[in-house]
Amino acid sequence: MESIGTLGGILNLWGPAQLGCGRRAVASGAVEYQALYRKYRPQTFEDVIGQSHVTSTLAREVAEGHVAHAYLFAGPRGTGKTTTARILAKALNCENRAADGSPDNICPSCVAITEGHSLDVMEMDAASHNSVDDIREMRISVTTVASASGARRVFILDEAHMLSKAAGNALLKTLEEPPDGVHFVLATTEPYKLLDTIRSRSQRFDFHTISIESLAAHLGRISDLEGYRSDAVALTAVARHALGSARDALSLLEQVAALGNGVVDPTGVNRALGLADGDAFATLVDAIDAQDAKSALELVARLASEGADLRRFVSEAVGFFRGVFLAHYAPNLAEIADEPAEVLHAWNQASERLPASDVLRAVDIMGESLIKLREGREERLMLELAMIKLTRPETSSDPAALQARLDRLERRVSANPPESRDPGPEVRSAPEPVVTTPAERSPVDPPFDPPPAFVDESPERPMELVEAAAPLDAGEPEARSRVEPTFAQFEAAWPALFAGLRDLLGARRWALFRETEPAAVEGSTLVIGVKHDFHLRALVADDSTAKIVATRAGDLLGGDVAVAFRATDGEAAPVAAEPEVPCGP
Amino acid sequence: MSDQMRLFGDVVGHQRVLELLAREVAAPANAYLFVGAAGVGKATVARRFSALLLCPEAGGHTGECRSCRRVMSAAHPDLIEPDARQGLGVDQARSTIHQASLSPVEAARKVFLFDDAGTMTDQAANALLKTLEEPTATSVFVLVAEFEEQLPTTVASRCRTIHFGRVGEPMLVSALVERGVEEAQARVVAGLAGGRPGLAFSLLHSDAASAFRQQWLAVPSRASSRPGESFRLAAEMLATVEPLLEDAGEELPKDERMRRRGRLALLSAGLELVASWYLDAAAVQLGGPIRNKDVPLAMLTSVTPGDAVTRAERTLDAAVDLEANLRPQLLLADLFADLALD
Repeated sequence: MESIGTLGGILNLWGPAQLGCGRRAVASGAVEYQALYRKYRPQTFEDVIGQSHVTSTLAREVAEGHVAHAYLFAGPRGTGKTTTARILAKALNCENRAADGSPDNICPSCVAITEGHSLDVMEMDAASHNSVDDIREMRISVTTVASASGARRVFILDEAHMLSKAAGNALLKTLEEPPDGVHFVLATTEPYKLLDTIRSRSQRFDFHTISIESLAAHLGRISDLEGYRSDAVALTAVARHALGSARDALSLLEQVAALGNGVVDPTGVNRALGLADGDAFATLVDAIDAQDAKSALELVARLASEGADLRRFVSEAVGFFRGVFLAHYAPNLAEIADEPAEVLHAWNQASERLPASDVLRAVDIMGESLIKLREGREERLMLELAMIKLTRPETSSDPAALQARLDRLERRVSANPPESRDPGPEVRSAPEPVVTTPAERSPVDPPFDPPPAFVDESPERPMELVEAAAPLDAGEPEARSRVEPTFAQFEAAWPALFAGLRDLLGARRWALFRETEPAAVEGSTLVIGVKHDFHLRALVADDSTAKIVATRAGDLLGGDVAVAFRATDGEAAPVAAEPEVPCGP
Repeated sequence: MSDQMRLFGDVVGHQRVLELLAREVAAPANAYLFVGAAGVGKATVARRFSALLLCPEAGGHTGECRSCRRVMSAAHPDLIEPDARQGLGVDQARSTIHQASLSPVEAARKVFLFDDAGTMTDQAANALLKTLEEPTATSVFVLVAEFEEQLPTTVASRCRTIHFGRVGEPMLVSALVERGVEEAQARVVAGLAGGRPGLAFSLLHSDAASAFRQQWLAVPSRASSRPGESFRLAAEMLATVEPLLEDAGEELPKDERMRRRGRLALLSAGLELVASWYLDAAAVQLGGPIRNKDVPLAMLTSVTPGDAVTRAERTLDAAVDLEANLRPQLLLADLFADLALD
């Protein structure tokens, strides 16, 4: 048995202490590793978490000797159906059963059932033995085989929903009136698939998904037993992701612990699950509030580079915005949401920032993206698309988007009279982008009176300057100081500047402006090269273009700048020259 | 780098996943579910992980030993791979259950590798449930699927689910450069592959990759609402795939089914390029970062952000419809007509 020797070698290499994982030695001398959810399968009624409505009833029935002949255990995955069925079998057969109906787990019968070789407990996989022949075989065993040592015989049919119709019907008579001492337990995740006639012959118990709180407590106990170093926040996060299933929770816990060498902390949970870190949603809320597509897109880039699972991010986001929506309309949030205080706090905070219509839109958009991601679309493109739609309602034309824009306007009008616009209590890390809600946007004229500008209209001068005044937007909380950007900064800001101007300038000025490029920076004056003499003259003649450009450039560069237009290469190009930049269709 | 990581040496990206798996080898869970987009490397990792699980050598995992070599060529007696080509039915599930009850032939355990677990029928999945949950101590199941939702939740709940995201573009570029690809070509190929190393490798030796990218990026400015023109454009775009398929010939098996898959993967890569063009158009006007830096700004700004968003969505929808066995030319022509601005 060379192989076992080397397996032992591998185990030594990693060392049980280092991994802190559960193993138990089996008779052959090989080392069997058991997943936590098998190792810590509850062995008494009290150990089963979150199902006291089932387990206490069953315990009492056992204690009082009123055990039904057929039970139906229904409930979602990982809530304890099979486990409870096995405990029931043990309790029925235990030699030293406690007064409250619990098995002692040390008598030979209990041990045999725990180890799975009892002759009195037949656990059948109804999914792979679902034919009528399998059921007939079982019926023969039910009716003809006497129990060993007079014990009660328990037949557990797991995944009972997979029984074929014929098999289900073949079972009916036996299920209704089994011989003395025979009990059936049918366990299923999908009770509605069972025949009505089966359901009516059995006592039904519904298992519920387990609350986050009790799951987290359970995880805490197990991680102490396993010697993990765990913290409460991390355990709660694991519990939340298990969606009420103890099995999922333990699998996740094991995964996190394996990755973190026995340490279970929030970073480890995020890493194991590919989750975004906690402030991703705060950033997203800020971005939606400020209509800041840029920071939302940068958030996606950051998540992608950190290796976060973007699909999971989207599904988390649906959950988050649902919570924020609840926070809007439910004053008793703490009672209806099964979440820790920090999460509730985050929801409440976000609900103060975003109007309900925005939140509802976010739920819709993220939900729709989630469905589309499941169909196999590329995650990053899909998420970026959702981000643009979320932060800029004007890019979609559905009624919800219009409603969101209206609400935003109303809010702005009622909250901030135009004279004293408050920048808001929060300090945002990103500079507030130019407000470009279409209703507010005035592409034709800048919102302030043109200050006296130096305009030299003589066409023979090689360089023509238009000085534009500092942006006088009343909303600016403080006057900006003049900055002297480098040419590299100017070039870096150019794409955003250029792109943003299309709407600000309006069609006519844009036509003149579109064939320009950065030429130089002189002090705090940005010099923009213009290719055609004709355009240059028109741009210079109309100083509002320069003012709009200067305002926008000032926003991007974080200070006051002036703008000047100049012919490319210092000489006027012939008007008839072929444009170098290809035009769109 | 631990010994276990060495066998994963040629996997691109997925660092987090590989670390996790390397730790798991000593004490594997009873079942794993690998999920992620096609071509990101799930099957590659799954096979190497199986090799690690079956390898008799405690240290020095280089994939050189006899056991590992046989796993790589799918000839190890303890590596059982149900054939998913005709879909995984309940009969295959039953025979798997039977095999799982047997002892391993020579290694310390048996590995059951389901490469296309998503094709499993509901009955097969249900039949496997009990075996997945409590297999014999010597069995490990590795299921590979594109999405978790392809399998019933009861199956996913019994498996340790491992997500494979797309590989970041910088990572893919540097991986290609490490393998001796010129940087310029590596960038083009990585940009095309959209984080799928599998696709990137099959495009590596193609001179046509750069042309392919340019042609697809030109689609937004060429799209026309005149049916004749959109049909011609669709035919032209379909043709862009052929030189790449020819070049990838050595990597792609001759199998017609694989060629069809390759063609679809390339077409959807092309459509994703078009979608990224529109996303850039929206992003640049809203002040966001752009990804196709060589597209002239004046062209990107010729579309309003709203139009760009709807067109990006439309394009991504078309990429999914491709899989549904439509005639690609009709689908593309329809799409291009919708993309037109006039």
